[in-house]
Amino acid sequence: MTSLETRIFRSAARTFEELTFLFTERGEDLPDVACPGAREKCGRAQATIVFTGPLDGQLLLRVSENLLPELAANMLGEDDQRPESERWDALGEVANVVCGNLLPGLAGNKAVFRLQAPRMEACGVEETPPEHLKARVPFTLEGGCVELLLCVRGELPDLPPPSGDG
Amino acid sequence: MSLNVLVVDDSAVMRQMIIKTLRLSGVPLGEILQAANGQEGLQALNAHWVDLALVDINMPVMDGEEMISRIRADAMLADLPLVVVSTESSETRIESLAKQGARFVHKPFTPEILRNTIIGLTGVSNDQPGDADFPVSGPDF
Repeated sequence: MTSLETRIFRSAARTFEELTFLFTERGEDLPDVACPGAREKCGRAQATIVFTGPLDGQLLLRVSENLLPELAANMLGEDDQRPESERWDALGEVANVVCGNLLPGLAGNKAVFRLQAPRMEACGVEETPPEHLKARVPFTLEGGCVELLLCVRGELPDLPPPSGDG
Repeated sequence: MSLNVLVVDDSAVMRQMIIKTLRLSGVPLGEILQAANGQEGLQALNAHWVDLALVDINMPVMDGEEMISRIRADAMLADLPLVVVSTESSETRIESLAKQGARFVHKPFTPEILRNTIIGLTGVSNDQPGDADFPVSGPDF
């Protein structure tokens, strides 16, 4: 993984673990597409966070739809019969936390960003990559597929190498 | 003393998580009010007696920064204890909020952190002498 991909993965893994109690299954030796066939076989749900500030862009969080019930249920610590709206809201909140925790690592701790409210939608097979795509990080999460895409207008600043394990 | 609490966050799931944490925290609670943005939050503050507000930053309609500025500019609300619960990591923005007297809790948060922040800000706790353990343990929220 590149330094950028590592940062995205770490931010996502920590958020999923601490907010939803779901654990990632990606290791350094796993292939880039850790969920083969996901794009064709899984219905997918997507949350988009548009951000502005020192960097302008968006973070897309895509999960296979089988994960949606677990997200809301785990966040609220209750059964998985949560209303449909809460399932989507939970996905949006996870994307919001991932994005909020990721951006300072890209632009510095003093940078001030504005994050728009999450936009949620079902998504099918990706025909063309989104504009300004800088990184795509796929991984699996306790039986579901997750993919994060970071899109930023212009050039990213140089990132220091990630420290610790990946 | 029971606290009337206002929770302001555009995510209904996050509001429920915060309220659940409050209920498990041992902090004595009165009425719990909810708002989905700063504007709704101000309306709730004008319509109800509130002892403590937990406020997100990034919200549609009116964000948390503007809501807090308006609270501090309102003579009737200026002394309201405020806790910002947000993904915000900008030192610049956190310092700005601290200057307005708001405490900060970063998402994802642990129940212990939220509880200790509220007790530190309000001085209100149900704990008996010697009861140092939080009733909830486990992963972060």
